[in-house]
Amino acid sequence: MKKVKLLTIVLLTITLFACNSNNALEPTNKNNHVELTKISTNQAIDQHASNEAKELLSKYKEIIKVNAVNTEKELIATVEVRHQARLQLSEIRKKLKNKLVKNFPDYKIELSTDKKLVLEVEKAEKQIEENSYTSKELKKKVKELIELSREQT
Amino acid sequence: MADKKKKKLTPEAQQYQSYQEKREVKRPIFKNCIKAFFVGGTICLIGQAISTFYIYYFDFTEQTAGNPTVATLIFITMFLTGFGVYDRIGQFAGAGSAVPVTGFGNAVVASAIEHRTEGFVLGVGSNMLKLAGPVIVYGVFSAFVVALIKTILIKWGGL
Repeated sequence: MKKVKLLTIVLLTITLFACNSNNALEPTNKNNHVELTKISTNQAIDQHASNEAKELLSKYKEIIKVNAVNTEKELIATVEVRHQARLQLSEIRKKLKNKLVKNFPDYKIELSTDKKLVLEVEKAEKQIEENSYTSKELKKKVKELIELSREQT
Repeated sequence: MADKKKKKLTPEAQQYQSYQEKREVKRPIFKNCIKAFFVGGTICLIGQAISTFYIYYFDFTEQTAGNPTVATLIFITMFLTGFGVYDRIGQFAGAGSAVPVTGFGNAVVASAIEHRTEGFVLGVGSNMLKLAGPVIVYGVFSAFVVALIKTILIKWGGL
């Protein structure tokens, strides 16, 4: 009986601590912990906006990896969130999306934390860097990615 | 209930009962929990690996990769049940092998195999979901109750 009581207390403590982690989500000044590659912007499709978005998102300490790609009208960004912060994943996603929407009013913003999207956007970034995308192809690719990110079941 | 029954027993029977309670081998609850934890965790690890495989090599997102993962796990369980391996795992791990979706698959496949001799309609067809049926019924019902509570909390509780 004593064992059971002890186990219950330990489990309860762990659960409550997990729920109680602070979710301040404030931008910090240093961003050297974040993995991001800036795409050189002398391409057929201007990637200024996504570079700026990466810079902006990388200031949050919850984020460990940022990727972003944009066309003339759309911007799709993906972030990888630190494992301890994943409990507040939907909250973080919402806040970061609002931040992007505020900062890039000319673009249709899509933000995802999905692993698949991270992989795909990273691939798209590499192909832009290698100049293997025409603007039409990129538009098609981004459209596909947005559709993929909205898939539910 | 147990106390009521005890009072009706003769003194000898009561004495015997207390005697045998002392000598009874205690159920190793803690040990069983550890076993279940590790075997269940291993099954989930395999599931995670399959899920990651689908994300990396097919067009599935984290959201949608769950469906093929569950299907694959049940498919693997089907073989393990047929070859009699899952029974051994179940004997060793108990709830650890019954709670994941593989336990559900095992329940369906095992009863299908068991009632094969009674024919396909009245045997396999009607007995296949004998054990898995309640899982579906109570699963759907509890999902309904939880959804109801959530709706009430959101609509009127201002959450």
